[in-house]
Amino acid sequence: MTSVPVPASEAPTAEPSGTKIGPVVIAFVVGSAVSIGLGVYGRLHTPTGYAVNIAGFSNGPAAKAFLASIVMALAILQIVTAMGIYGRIPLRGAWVSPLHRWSGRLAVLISVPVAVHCLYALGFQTYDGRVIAHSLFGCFFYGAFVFKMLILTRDDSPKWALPLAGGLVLSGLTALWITGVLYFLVA
Amino acid sequence: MKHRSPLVTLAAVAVAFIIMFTVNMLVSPPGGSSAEPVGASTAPASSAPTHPTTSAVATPSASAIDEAKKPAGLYRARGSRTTIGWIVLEDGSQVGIQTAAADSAAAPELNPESPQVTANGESLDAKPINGDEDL
Amino acid sequence: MTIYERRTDSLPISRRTVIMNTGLAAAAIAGLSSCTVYGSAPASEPSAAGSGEASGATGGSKELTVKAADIPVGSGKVFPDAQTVITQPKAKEFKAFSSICTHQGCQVDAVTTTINCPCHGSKYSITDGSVVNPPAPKPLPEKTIKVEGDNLVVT
Repeated sequence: MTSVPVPASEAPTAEPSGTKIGPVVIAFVVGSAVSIGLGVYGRLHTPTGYAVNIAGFSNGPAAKAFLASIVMALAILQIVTAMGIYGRIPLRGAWVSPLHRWSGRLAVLISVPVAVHCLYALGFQTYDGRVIAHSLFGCFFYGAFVFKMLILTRDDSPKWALPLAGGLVLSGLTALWITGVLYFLVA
Repeated sequence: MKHRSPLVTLAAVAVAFIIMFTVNMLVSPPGGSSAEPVGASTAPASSAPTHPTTSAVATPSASAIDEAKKPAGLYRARGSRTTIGWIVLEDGSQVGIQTAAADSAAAPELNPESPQVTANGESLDAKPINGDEDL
Repeated sequence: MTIYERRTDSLPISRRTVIMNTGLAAAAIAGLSSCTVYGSAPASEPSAAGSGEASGATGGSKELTVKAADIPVGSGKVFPDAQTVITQPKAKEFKAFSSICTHQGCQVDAVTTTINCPCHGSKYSITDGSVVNPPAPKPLPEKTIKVEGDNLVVT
């Protein structure tokens, strides 16, 4: 097969299938900046020991555990609908995509009071492995979420980018749930 | 850029963060404002300072102390020469300190039902402290 | 086409979007209005020091008197109203410490074989108040304890 010369103007940024990696790199950089920013805030801010959260619980960690578990449940809905959208499980219907988007929006919005409570009352802590992990994943989760949202603004991302982003968000949240809620319930 | 709604979502999340941080910065620490003693060197509260015995406005807190119910609470009497502060507890016990110029002495006993005492030759009316006074 | 139809046709936003957004906003407002503050401010030491000095000035020192028999051997007991924890590491040997955890000011709440703080898991030795488990940065300050007959007096 003879090779067809590619016009110079098209060669540098285009991947073989017409996808672009540049925006993915930019999304990664912006996401990382968000993660680092949260970590820096958590370190610089003097933890107050108290924060606002929804009422009706006996203490802060209990309120956070409740909200975070709702977020986790919505995240499970996220991965299920995502698998349906990608045809991995037989989930069909026009409702699958909107459900994925809205459950995702709801999940991340509910996570915000939890994250702010942790950041404001406790800050970025390093006194044992669990809190180091929780602090790191907390920063990572929002960076990964920003990364995913930015990838979604374009149609020309490489096809691995979106599943990777979604997977990172889910993993981050799961790690947060384990180091936070599970510890609270079991320890 | 093809799709805008992910950016709308990002904006909503950013706004949510800002709102939550602002709300947190606006609330005051639970347990009431710092346990500022009423009057000059009031006698010590007999309970832990982390839970000041005040009848001040109850702070909305899940770890709140019991609300002081009348006649329990803080009282203050002020005259031209003398200032007296009392802490009255729910079981009726009280501590109080009477200050005149530079001297401090134990306060005369206060009957919250009839809050008039005599000190240093003048008659003083003790008033309960509600927390909105300008002391 | 009626005027009514024309007006809704020219709106940039669909009815469904309005309803969904209103629902979300209502949920958000409901959430925001059912909030409270959780936690304890850590700055309890200044007021503790302040009232300690005031008690000295008025001459009535704050003492805690308890029956020695109330303190289990090899363990201890917390007296939250007096901010004191008393331990008996060995039979007839008593120690007293402040019960304010040096991490973020919570009161320790239980003594097993260590003095334990419920907030973040700090643990202190019943022998000398030193930190056995973080995150406490400093040991519990000791208080003076005297045996008077069947009682223990802590100042």
